[in-house]
Amino acid sequence: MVNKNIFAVIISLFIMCNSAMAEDAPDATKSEITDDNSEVIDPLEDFNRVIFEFNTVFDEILFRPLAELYGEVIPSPVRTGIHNVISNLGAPVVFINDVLQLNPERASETLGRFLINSTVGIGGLIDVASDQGLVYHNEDFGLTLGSYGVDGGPFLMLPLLGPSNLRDAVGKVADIFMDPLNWIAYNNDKDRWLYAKTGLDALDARTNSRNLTDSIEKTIDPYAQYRTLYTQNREYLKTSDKASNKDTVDTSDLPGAD
Amino acid sequence: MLRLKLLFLLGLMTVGVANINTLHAAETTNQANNEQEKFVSEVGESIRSLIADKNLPQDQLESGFRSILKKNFNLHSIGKFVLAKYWRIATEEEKTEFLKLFEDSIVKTYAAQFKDYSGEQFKVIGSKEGSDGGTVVLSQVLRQKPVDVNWFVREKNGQFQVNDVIVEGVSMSVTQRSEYGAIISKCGNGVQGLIQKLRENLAKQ
Repeated sequence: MVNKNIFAVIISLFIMCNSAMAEDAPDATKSEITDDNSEVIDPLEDFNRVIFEFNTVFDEILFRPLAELYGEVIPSPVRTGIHNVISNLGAPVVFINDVLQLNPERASETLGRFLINSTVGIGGLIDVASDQGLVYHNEDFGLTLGSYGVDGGPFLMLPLLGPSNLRDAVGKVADIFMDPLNWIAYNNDKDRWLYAKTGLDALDARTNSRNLTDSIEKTIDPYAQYRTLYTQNREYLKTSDKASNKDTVDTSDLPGAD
Repeated sequence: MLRLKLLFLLGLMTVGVANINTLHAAETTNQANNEQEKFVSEVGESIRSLIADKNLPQDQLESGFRSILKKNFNLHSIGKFVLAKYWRIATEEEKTEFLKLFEDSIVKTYAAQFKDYSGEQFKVIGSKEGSDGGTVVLSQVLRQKPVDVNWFVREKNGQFQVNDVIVEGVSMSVTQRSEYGAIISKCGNGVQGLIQKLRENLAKQ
């Protein structure tokens, strides 16, 4: 039952995604977008800002203190181990997306990393593969859709999860469904392991990003900062390392000659 | 956890910008680009030697960084870019005042982040032509997962100047333009409103 409902949500999100793009495409001229100081489509800004306020409060009263505690109590080598295990557990999803993007090189890198780190690296605790030149890369279904030519669509601020867009939010749900670990845990009534993994992942990420978060929060409009950082970085991740042997870089939207 | 992962990644990046260690100009077959790559190496090295001294008082760190910034970055062009359409409607006095405050806030923001420097290696790995002229020098900060830092360099009066720094696809100029644009449209008092806001923010730090 639950699964059926979620699929219904995904399908309607897809439909929304497509129709939103269809609406945007014809009349949003480039000059309009750049003139508005924003490369980001954000028709839901008012709503997004409400969610952002909620996230900020949640972070202040609960998440940040917890992350600080985690950073202080757990020694750094242990945190690195935890980080490595979690990122190793994410490898199947990365692998599937590498395959969906028809990128055999990256797929074999991910597979190699997973096999080496899960065995020699003691269940992912030690990132042995990196020393062998198999460097970690991330991949998700949002980026896979992007590689198929799907635009990000409207920017979204998700509760607790933070900045996203319609495409990546759909991708996030798809990633959860394609993760074999989720199915294994779900079918064996081991859901609590998933919660533990998610919680540790969150603490790990929040602890490591402390300096950045602090500096963004010092800016005059943190929401606008998150929005542009997210959008630029996702656009970059979509194209980086993927046969980008072009000789020129698009610099048309960067500071010009004086 | 999308936001958190992003934050983690961006955390690496910000530290990455600040953490510029020994620079090695990469060998390249393209002679013309060698000059730009050498220039970026030198700028990086001057920043590195400044921030490597952990005993340097804050005001000296700031003044040292300010002189590197003024010498090697085209602050006028960047300032004009970040104001975007508002540059055209700003008065001369507003432009001058804005550029001054813009410089101050760059100094404050980055000087604060240099504290995190912890000795990562940095290397220039090549360069590419910009589509609208200029050169993009590619470099990496070497960490477990290397961080890509690209420098957009243009020539002005026979001198190279940095026009932008792009970390993992995040352009510092575009990011700044987005924030200032949001401020101006929110406070509704044009460039004056932004100038006011920048002054308040600098006084707080």
